Amino acid sequence: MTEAMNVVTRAIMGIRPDLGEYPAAISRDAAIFYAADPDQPVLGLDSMEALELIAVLEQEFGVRLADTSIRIADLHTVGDVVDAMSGTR
Amino acid sequence: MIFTAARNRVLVTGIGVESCAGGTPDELWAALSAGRPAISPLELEEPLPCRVGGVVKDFDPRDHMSAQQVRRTSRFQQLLFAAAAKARADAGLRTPPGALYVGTGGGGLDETARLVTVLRRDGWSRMNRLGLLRLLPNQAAGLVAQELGVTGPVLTLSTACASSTDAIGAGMRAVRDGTADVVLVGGVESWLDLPCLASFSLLDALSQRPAAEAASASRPFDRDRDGMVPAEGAAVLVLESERSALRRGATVYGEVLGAASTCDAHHPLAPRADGSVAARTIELACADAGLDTAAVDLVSAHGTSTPLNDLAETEAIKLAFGPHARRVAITAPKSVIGHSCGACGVLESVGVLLAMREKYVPPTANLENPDPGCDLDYTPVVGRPAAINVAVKQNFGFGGQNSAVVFGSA
Repeated sequence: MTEAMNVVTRAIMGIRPDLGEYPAAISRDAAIFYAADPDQPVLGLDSMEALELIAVLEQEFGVRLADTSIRIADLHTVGDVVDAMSGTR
Repeated sequence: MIFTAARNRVLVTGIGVESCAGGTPDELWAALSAGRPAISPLELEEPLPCRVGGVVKDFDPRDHMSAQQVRRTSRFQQLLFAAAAKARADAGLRTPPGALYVGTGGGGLDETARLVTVLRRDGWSRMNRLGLLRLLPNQAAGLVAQELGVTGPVLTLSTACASSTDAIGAGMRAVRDGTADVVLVGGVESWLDLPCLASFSLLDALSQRPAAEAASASRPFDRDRDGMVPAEGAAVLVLESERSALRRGATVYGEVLGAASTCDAHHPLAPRADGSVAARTIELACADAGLDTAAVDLVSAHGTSTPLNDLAETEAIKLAFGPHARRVAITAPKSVIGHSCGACGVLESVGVLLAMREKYVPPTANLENPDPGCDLDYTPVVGRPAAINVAVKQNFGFGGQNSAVVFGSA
């Protein structure tokens, strides 16, 4: 697991402590809101929790999505968030 | 054929408070009945002419909300949430109220100032992503509605210092007319932040007494009064139809008999000096209650401790009550708990309900040298036992807002 993925995982568990009971579910492929297909793992954050997550991660990574071309609506999976924050998107 | 709907009796069956005098009705009553001011020095980041206020001390939102809710909310939302939870528990409600009416003067005005500070200093992208939710005035009521499952009318009224008095009137009508069997009415204000206090100070509206004189700063109707003493707080009442209260075996604190609202249509800040429209408000509220003003035993005055209000209010009482103005007992709760702006209507109504229950007129603290123009019986310094069957709670606000509610004893 990359350091960026570690940071995102910790942030998700901070926003949703209940997900901390199943940290393995927080994978790169996991959908943040809802799954595109039935077999995809899903975290089930609501829109407020997603905004809080972004705010925490912006603080952690020193990045402001508003200063980039990335839109929050484009972040579907945990991997998308990790890439956006670590500047690989 | 004309149908006339039966009017339900509207009973008060629950109380929740967060005030500078304490977080329970009993604590609030102890301070009010003793005339013991709960005003203290303010700890401000920058010096202002205003140095004292009513702070809700030892308030920990985590006692009432989840960590997530605490993170997302600002102080005015947290104060109302706590008061609403207490009122619901006090009433023993097991089902969601049908409606919610909340008064607030500024909502999250303090949050606006924080956002603007970050915007100017660091740029817009550094602002709090959830900042908007922490400042919109209706977000406090929305939060309570979400928590309690209120899916009927959830309305936020903003009529300055009359806001939550108007909320009581709105809630009373909802129960009386059958819109809902149980409603919550509340008021909240959190305005002890620098921009708010500075703005009011620039209007010369706030007391400038030094910190050492905190307890004597709020002195309605006194010759030496020098302005409002700001206070934060929240209060919520459960209003319930008699049918519902009887069915549940609810404890009844009192009855809401009538209410009225008017506007001076005169000036952005100053009241009409002759008190004429404020007087009409009191008369209309009594008429709504089906009572003559002579039936009123207690007037809980707005009593802001400003030179203009206290004189105009005295004129209004004289006009509304006629010869009875010389006999009716008057009390000014802001002498003890300061001016909680949009919260004061409901917070001070708690004092009225408890005064009726305890059969005791709480005093106006610090009224040691009456203003010659304020020549009624404001119950100076010392309270007294009295049967109180009917009481009026009146509040007046910037913009010429006038509001009055008539309560009956349980």
